[in-house]
Amino acid sequence: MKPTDDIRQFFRRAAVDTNPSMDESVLETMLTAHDKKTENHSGPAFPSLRSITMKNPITKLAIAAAIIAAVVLGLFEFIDTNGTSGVVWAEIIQKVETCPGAIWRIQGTGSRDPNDDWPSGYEITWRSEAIRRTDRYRDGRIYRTIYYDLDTRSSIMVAHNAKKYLAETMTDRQVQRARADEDRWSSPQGLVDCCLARKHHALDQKTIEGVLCEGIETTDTSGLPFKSFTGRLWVSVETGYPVLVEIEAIDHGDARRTTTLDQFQWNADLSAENVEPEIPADYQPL
Amino acid sequence: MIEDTVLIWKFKLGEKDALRRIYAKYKNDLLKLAVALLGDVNTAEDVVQDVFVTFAQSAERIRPAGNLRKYLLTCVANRIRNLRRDGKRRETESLDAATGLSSDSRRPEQWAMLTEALQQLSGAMAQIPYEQREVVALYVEGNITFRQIAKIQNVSINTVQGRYRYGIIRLRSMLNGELRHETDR
Repeated sequence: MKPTDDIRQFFRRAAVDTNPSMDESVLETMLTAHDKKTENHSGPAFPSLRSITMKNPITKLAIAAAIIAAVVLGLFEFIDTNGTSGVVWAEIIQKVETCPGAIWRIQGTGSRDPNDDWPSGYEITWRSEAIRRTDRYRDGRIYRTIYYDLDTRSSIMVAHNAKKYLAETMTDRQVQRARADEDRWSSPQGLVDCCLARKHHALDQKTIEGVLCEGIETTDTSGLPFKSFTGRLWVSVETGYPVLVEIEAIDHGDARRTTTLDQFQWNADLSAENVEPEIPADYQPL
Repeated sequence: MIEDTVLIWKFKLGEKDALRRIYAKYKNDLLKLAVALLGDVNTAEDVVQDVFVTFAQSAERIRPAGNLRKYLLTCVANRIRNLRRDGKRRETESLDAATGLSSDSRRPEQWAMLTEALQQLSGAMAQIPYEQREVVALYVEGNITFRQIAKIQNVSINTVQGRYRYGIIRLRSMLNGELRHETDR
């Protein structure tokens, strides 16, 4: 017997059961919270300048005018005052949000998540109005693919590590949910909004992966559940699209998380025939 | 593992049944960990309910990979750590002091029903320092590796292993009689 086997056995014997009527009550609370969140969920959680402008015509005009005025008057801190800036920052959010298809890589760490293998892993995400696909890699090998085609209602989950897959037709509610599913911490839209909507300052130009970029940095924590937050957004001078987004945040419980989005391919052709995962012949349905 | 991946996938798509199944599958594990860490059943019930409610609201943040049980157990440990931190900040009563599981401290309608062994374990765990308690519970009950616990506690693996050794020694000394029965079984 190993030295701690007796402790393990005691732990195993130390059991808990639950009161069925209280189970119902707790479950009801949980489901209600889920419903409320689903009802309130209507896109990126960060305030989007573009979304705000679209809410009503008056607001739209007022905010559009304010943006134009700010640009003209040079009030945006990130506009290069010597006139050499090639990036029109006020257009970035709209460019990102209206891009028909994009692919990017996301990496990061979370100091309190035992499943967090991101130091050795990453995700590649494909996203368009109708297509959602995420491939997750660990130690250079793909082990999970999640795919939705919201137009054809096709959903596919592939567990490469187990050689299993599940393909189903989505319900109306699932399509609606998938369209709204937007993690503000892992989408370019959410993070670009976050960086641009807060107080920020310009960074020196630098070349990233051979692309000349201009950047901004924000450390403004207002309205965020963090005691420390740093967001950096780097945009190509030539195309005006993001090239690199870096986020580092520490919450009030001292949990630290970092997120990096890079390897962007903007305006990519994400038609289903190009993106739908192929199921290898030796994979079994779940 | 694959079953959990499917549950998370369906949960992300808004299927309530997936949420019900996750709840049914893991409620006892979460309550057991919370009771072992806190020694106070009422607070443990609150913590687990909070974790489930937060989980139900976090579909967009949950990644359809990884170990769901470990994830939820860590949520419980994190929630308790935050409670302890907030408690210390307010300089109100210490959660460590709450070692009693007597019936008069229970709610009129209790959710968790503990075996005698869990009550003994909880009482013994309350006597060891919290960091050691957390390592022992997460390692033994949660099957969370020392490396993962080191990340959760933001300390080195050596420190975690040391906490585990000291925790086990103290726990064994307090449960001595009970553990002798265990080896006789």
